[in-house]
Amino acid sequence: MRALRSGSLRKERKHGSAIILTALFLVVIIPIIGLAVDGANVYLMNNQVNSAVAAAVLAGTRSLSTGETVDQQRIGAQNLAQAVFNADISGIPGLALPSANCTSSTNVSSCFTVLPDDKTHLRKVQGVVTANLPVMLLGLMHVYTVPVSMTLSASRRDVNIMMVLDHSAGMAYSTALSEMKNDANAFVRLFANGRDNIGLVTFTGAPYLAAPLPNKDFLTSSPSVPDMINSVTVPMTSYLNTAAALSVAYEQLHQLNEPGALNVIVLFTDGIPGAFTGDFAPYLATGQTICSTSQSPLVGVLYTNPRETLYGGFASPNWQTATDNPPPDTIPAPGCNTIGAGLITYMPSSDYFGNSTTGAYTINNNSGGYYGDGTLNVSTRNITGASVNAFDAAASRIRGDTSIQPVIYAIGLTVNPAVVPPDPTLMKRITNDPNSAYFNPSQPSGQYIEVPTPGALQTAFISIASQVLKLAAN
Amino acid sequence: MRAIEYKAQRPRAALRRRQGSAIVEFALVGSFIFLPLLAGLVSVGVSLVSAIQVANLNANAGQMFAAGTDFTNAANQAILWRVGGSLDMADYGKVILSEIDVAPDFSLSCPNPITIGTGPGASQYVAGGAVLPAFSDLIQTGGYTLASGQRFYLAETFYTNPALTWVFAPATTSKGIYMKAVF
Repeated sequence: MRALRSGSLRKERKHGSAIILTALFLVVIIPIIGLAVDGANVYLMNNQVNSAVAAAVLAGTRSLSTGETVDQQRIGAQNLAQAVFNADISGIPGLALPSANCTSSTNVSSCFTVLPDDKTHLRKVQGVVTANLPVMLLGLMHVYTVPVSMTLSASRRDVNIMMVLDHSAGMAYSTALSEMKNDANAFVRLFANGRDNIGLVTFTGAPYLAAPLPNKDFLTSSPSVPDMINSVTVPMTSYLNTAAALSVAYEQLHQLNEPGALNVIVLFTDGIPGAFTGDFAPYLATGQTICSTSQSPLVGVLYTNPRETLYGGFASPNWQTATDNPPPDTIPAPGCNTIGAGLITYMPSSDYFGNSTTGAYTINNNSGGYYGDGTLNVSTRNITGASVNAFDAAASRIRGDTSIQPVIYAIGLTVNPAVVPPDPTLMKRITNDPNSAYFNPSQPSGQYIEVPTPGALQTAFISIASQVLKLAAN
Repeated sequence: MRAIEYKAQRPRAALRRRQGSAIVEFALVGSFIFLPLLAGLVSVGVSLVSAIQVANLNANAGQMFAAGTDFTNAANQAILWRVGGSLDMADYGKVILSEIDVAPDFSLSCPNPITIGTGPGASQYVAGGAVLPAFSDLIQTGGYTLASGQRFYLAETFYTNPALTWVFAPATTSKGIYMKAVF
């Protein structure tokens, strides 16, 4: 009887064992499940917070161009980084947003700071964030948050820009000049006054260095770069000494010599080159003189008009016409005559800046072809060829500077039917555009943007500014 | 002898029957507790893995877009899909990339958002803040004021996998996963 009762009790106990085992199993398995679910959830949230910090410091570096003073730029960048961080973590449940930069909420602390380095020409935006990420199931084990911390930074290089603006006679067409001035001004205002340098070269038959480098206070100096751009007028000359303008711009960057900064030349033009600066002393025809006193070097500009119907020259490297703005040099140089047909017999094989005038670039165009494959007789066609070759050689020399690694961007306006427009193949080659057949991957790549109407200039300038700022922020 | 054999066999048979009943009990209890638990665990796991992948994809897309990658180019779109790993983004995903500009009057414009993928989902920015808070409010937290000429980059990624029925709260609208990132 006892044995029977004992067996019955055992049976009852065995009947209940599955429930007990299940309960014991659940006690073990639920924390494990909680750990797995909360672990994955924390991993996801950690990823999101990390991405938010990365996005914030990148936005901060981009914003370093906004503001007239370095302090304004710094405060603006820090606040924007905080704002973007808040925007990005606003979708994560359980996280409270800090009310301002370098403050803490109940579970998130964030601080974004700008750290400038004048030696390397870098400004770094650094974000330091700590957060207590909420967990759900682990609360059963009295674990309510998981602390994480991260420090991320992004840098923005200072930018040195030389703007090279064509204001030849063709720019009088329609609204070309006013649009160019407005849009070039808007371009300048996208950069950081007080940190970046912006210089200005205007050119027609000769370049004029309106704003040399260094020029960090390009918005607040008097006159400012926008003031100088606004003062540009259109002269009667249509000759384009693009090689000399590019060379003068490069000399400014070269002399500034800031390899840590992003060095950029932005060229705007509406036609093909038709003039170059050279030393003509060795090429005077027998018995001919240009100046009353013997001069060596006899530096001047040889030019031809876009349609190659005439040519001439001036014995002054800074030749401008009387209607140029800023005021021209004396035309021609004191005591000198203009260079007419027969005064010089041959053209120099390189221009005054050392750019080869011979054979670097030949391509058919509507004028019948570019030449310049040797020491050539003076003629309209040969002057065009030499000018184009000098332009091409100047750009090649500039891009080949492995120290400051200048990047060339160009905008070509093709609106004026009276002007031979920029040759897109040549312009892409000049800028080392990745779409060019001549693209050289070992040199800095720029871009050529062809603009058919003055109204589209704004987009072109903004596009280039955007690319420059992206390069600076990488 | 038979009685002895009978006595010896009886406990073993009873034991086998009792063991069988324990397994049946366990199976009955398990079917009510463990199977739903397992199904839920698998759903949450799949959802979490997908959410992590979508978050990574979205962050990478936004960062590349802000750095100037041209996502109208098919080759770059293919790179983005590769970043998505095992997600079937081509059929069930969509990435919307928007450039948001601040005009001189501080109004915002988003002229040409780029949409990649054919999955369901519409930009929450374009919806005028119906789901996403108004973009200017989103940015102007902490007293920050928008400046004229500023440009923001917004990346939004949608992923709706029919296999996912679990609504994962941190990052979903409806049954899909939605992630946004402002750069």
